[in-house]
Amino acid sequence: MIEPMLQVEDIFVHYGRLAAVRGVSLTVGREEIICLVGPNGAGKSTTLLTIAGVLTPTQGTVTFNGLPTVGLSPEAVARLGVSMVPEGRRVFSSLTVEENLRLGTYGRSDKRAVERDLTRIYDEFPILAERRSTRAAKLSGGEQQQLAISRALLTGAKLLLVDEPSLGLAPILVERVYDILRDLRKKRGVTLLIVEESTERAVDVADRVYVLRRGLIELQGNSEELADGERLHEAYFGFSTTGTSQKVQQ
Amino acid sequence: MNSALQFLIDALSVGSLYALAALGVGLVFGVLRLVNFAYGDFITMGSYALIVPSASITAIVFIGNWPWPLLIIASAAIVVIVALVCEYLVFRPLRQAPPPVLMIASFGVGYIIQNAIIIIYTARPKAVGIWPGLTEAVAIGDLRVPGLQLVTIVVALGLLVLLVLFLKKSPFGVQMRAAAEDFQMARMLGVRANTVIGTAFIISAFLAAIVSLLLLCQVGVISFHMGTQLMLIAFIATVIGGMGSLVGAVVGGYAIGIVGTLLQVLLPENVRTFRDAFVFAAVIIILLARPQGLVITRAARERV
Repeated sequence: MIEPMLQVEDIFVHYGRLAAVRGVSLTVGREEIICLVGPNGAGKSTTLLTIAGVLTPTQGTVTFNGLPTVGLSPEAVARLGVSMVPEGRRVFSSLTVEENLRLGTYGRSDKRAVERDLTRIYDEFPILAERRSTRAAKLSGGEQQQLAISRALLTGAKLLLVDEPSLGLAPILVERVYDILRDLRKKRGVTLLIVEESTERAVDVADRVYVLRRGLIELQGNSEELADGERLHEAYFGFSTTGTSQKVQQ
Repeated sequence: MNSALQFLIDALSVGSLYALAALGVGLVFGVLRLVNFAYGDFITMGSYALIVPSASITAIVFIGNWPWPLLIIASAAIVVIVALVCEYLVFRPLRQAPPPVLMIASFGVGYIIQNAIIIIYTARPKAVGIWPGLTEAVAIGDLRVPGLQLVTIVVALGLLVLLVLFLKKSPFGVQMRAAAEDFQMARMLGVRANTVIGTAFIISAFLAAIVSLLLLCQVGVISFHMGTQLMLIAFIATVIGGMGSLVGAVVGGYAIGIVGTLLQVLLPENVRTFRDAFVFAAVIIILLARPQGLVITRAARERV
């Protein structure tokens, strides 16, 4: 088997004495789209933040492209090629759109490629080009999400960690954001690890899905295998919801 | 007319000194959430840098005799080194600590610097005159103004413009503004915490040295607590300006300068000695009316 791009092995993460993640293992292969689903408080964001180097696991290892990253600072992990599109987007509202975009490029030494990448972003997201001198606070939610994704790409990231991209967006915009994410792999070969609350959307977009509940991986599998939903719902809720086709949404 | 102009120049020159000191405090607070009470002692260091370390009663001026560009560079370099050492030894290990812990640590750093000065230089104030030419009056129309006041105003405005350009145009500046807004997010985009915090300390220390030299030029005497009063006012300026807002720090500095000068003119002579009490009363009234400060930042708004 080819070595996976990201390998998380048996990590435990504590907030004080409380264990938010209790032995999570997962792998992400090159150019895969992986979804991490689970109810609120399952430890999804904690897992992402641990991979990003913001949180340090009390136990376990994280390996990116063969390099162990536990103990590295968030900026060091980012400079290895892992970038975050965080929950709530967290664009820098007092900075202009262009300043937001350039922020992630200061760590890169390939200045020529930076300008080329920026031009490409402006081509693909014309709204950002149009509003490049506007403060990011003035952007709508959907525009901010495009900005957050573009900003992460411009760091030169090979792996994007995307935390609940649909949160707080109108349904039609959610579709658009997922189209953008799918395109990232198709057009740029970017690998994606996406946190999502909806199981339907997860099996729809991802190659493989991990279900996380109460800090543990309850289920994992290919999206096709899980698409019928029953095992997925059972893992998600902790009990069977046989015979229902209800939407699982927050 | 003349007295109005005289008042304006008085208020602006006093306010300029306060604004520069407040900026020095505000820059570090912005990225580290540290209210650095050792800042007054950084200011003090800027003047002690000019003399040879010794316990002698009269100051043995060394750097203070250098040509002015070299004098400024040397004084600033020494304060920058002191600030970076403090950052590395004290504030870096405490970086994850809550803001009150950082603040208390800064009191400790301040005491250490003050006592180190007392041990090396003694607690005795020492007369040091620099740039005597600046105290001569300059004629504006039929008004005669001390040149130092004009220099203070021009230097402050010049540094403000430079700082704005730095923050807006340079990669370091953009990273500092981003870090002040959401440090963790900035780091996840590859912005180095050490670089940003180090830059903040360097600029802050540079401002402390400039403030120190302007102050020394005015008073002519160095003492181990010469920066303390200024730090208190700088802190208050950042609070009434709105913690975390650099514009607020400048506004706050000038506001205190203007109010103080105004009271100096308006108060009856027998209560004029209590001017500072009135200034602080004004500060309390401002804070009662606008607890978040005059300029509200996004960070402050979110906390509400």
